Amino acid sequence: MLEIKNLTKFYGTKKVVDNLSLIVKDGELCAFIGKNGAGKTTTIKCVCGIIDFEDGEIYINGNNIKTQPLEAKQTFAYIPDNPNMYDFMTAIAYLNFVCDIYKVDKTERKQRIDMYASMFEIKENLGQQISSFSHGMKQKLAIISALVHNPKLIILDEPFVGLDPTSTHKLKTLMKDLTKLGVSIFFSTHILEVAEKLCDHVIILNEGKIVKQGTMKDVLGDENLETIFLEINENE
Amino acid sequence: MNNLVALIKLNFLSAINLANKKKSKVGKFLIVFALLFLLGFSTFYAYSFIMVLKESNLKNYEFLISFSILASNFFVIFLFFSSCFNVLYKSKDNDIIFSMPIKKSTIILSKLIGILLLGYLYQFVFIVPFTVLYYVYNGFNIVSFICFLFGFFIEPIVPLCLSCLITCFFSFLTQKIKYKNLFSTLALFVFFGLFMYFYMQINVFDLMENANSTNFIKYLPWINWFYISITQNNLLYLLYNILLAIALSVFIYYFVYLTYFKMCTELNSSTASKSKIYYKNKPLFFALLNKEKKKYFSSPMYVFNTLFSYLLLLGVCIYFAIDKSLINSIGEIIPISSFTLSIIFITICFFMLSTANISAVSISMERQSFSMLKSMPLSFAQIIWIKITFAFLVGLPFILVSIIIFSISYNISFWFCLMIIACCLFFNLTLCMFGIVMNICFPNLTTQNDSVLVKQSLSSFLSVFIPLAFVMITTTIFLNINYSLLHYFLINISIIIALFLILLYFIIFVAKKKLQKLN
Repeated sequence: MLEIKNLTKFYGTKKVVDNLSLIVKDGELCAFIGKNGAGKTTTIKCVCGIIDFEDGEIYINGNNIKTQPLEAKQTFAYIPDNPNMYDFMTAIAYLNFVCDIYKVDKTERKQRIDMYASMFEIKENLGQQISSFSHGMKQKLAIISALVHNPKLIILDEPFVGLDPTSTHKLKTLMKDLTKLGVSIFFSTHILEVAEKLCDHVIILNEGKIVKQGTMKDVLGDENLETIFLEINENE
Repeated sequence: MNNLVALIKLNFLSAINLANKKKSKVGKFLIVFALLFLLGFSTFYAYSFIMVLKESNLKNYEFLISFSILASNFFVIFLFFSSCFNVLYKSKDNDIIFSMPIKKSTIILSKLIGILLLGYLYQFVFIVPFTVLYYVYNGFNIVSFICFLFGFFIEPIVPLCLSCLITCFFSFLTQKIKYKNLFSTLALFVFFGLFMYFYMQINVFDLMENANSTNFIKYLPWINWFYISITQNNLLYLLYNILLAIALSVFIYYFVYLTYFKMCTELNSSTASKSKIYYKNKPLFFALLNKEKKKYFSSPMYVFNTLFSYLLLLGVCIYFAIDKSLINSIGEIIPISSFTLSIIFITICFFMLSTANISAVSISMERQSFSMLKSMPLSFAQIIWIKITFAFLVGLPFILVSIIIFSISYNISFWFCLMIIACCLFFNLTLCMFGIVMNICFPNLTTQNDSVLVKQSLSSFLSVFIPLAFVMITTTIFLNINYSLLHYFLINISIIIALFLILLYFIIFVAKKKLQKLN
């Protein structure tokens, strides 16, 4: 579903992503972890076509993000670390806008919006201005807007930040359920316990380079993710 | 004290858009160049007035002082009123600043002084060249110069205090009203409508004959006192101005101080009002257009600064339709025909349209949500053209109605009317494209204050300044070098067509790369 080949990205003269390659298969739940400034968000932004990159190739569902951006973008959804949405819109107007962009028809959008809004307990707030939402509610809305067009790949940058425990639990369950339906999920997180319990695949990034990747079982061995993560950073 | 200096520096630099040290050298050069150009143009106009006064044997050089004070006050009040509301009450960095261990008085003072410094910059461009030429032709006097020097720094304090007072009043009313944005926008228009009406009562010809003739100056004592102190070398009037400034600033400072936090809280508390939940399909084009519309009307400052020129154009047309004396007086210089009137009207339209550029901050206003838009399956061409289309559509009804009013009232033939419509719409489209190109070249996705973005961002400044300079330069050349109206028209249209083609090339071939890098 997602294939990154030799991705390299510079900010000025600083190399922030260094020859990074990875594959996320269909229906796989992949955690992308690393300390602050490791290059996680930059990689995600490159994948989503938000920022340009100097070298390498990114394929989403077989479409190159540089040469076939529209085809690639049609198949995935992105939830940023900071849910900067259109504050001047109501939540329902924003969801309708997203549905219009991804061409979701009226019956399906009603069904999906109702379902996800009820699941994340913001159905009552759909008519409200986004500017009146708390960070957590904005995050929920971002998640719903990502799910509403049934993407094949969901890319989430720090999705659990700001969510209440109930919503965190629901999101984790939903992520698991979606992978069972064949949806791939690629997300960055600092919550190692969640990554360890939830994911099939893990990628550890340090200074723009992948230092460890593989199935959770292979990477962990007899240890836990936190120990491995700390070891990597101490050896640095 | 250190906090105050640091905050003033931060506010002022962000207001003139030089806070970002990474700003390109080209950007900084363009700001300096534009300021020097304005200074040069102001000097040129001051000199032109001297020539007119000399030729008509009036030699009433005091006119330079009264005119420059009136003009600078016009722009300074315009700036202060629109800035006060945003900088004081609606600034998005208020949350961070309030959380810091900084005294409330320091915060308020730093914001007010930041606005004041910007006022001095505006005033410098208008007053200094006129005053220098006044001293050159009227003779230098040390007392007059002292009055000018102190008056220069004292004079904008009164408009600032009055702007604060009016802003406080508007803020108080706004917090009570459900539709805050709509009310703020209407309030801005009403205030400036009245203000413009007040200014339009001034007759420049009367002012030339007797600089102190207009009652308007008498209604605004600080202008009158500043004028008298310079022209009559009278220190007493300088003292009046100082006393008025001190009294007003103390009163306003405490007034703002007492109401500030309550007002900020009330104004920025989000309304949890609910609207109807609907599930409606829209074609992509209309969905994007609807988003642009909502974004545009969500910012009173954005609407006011960009729609004002269109409204002014409409107002001027209605005025010309009612009072035909000014247009008819041109008949004394050149023969009036449908063609002549068309060209005059096209020039007026070009001038007005140059100052209304919605697309110039269209991308910047997306701020961080631009990342979301980029991650959606939309081509960069779609993103750009929808912004151009929206900007074009906003101006369209105003332009059409203005042209129809003008054409009917001056019996302009159908074909000439069509020519005016075609020229004005084409110019407007070119301006919309120019605005978006400027925004792509000089984006600013981080500034949190709408006022700074709309009024002082580099893209906004250049996209207004360059077309305005183009119209002013070509018209000035035409007025000074005697070539035919037809040539003037053809040269202008040729330049606009050339610019349109260059912009089209940029949008098709270069914009995508620039937008891709934008983060």
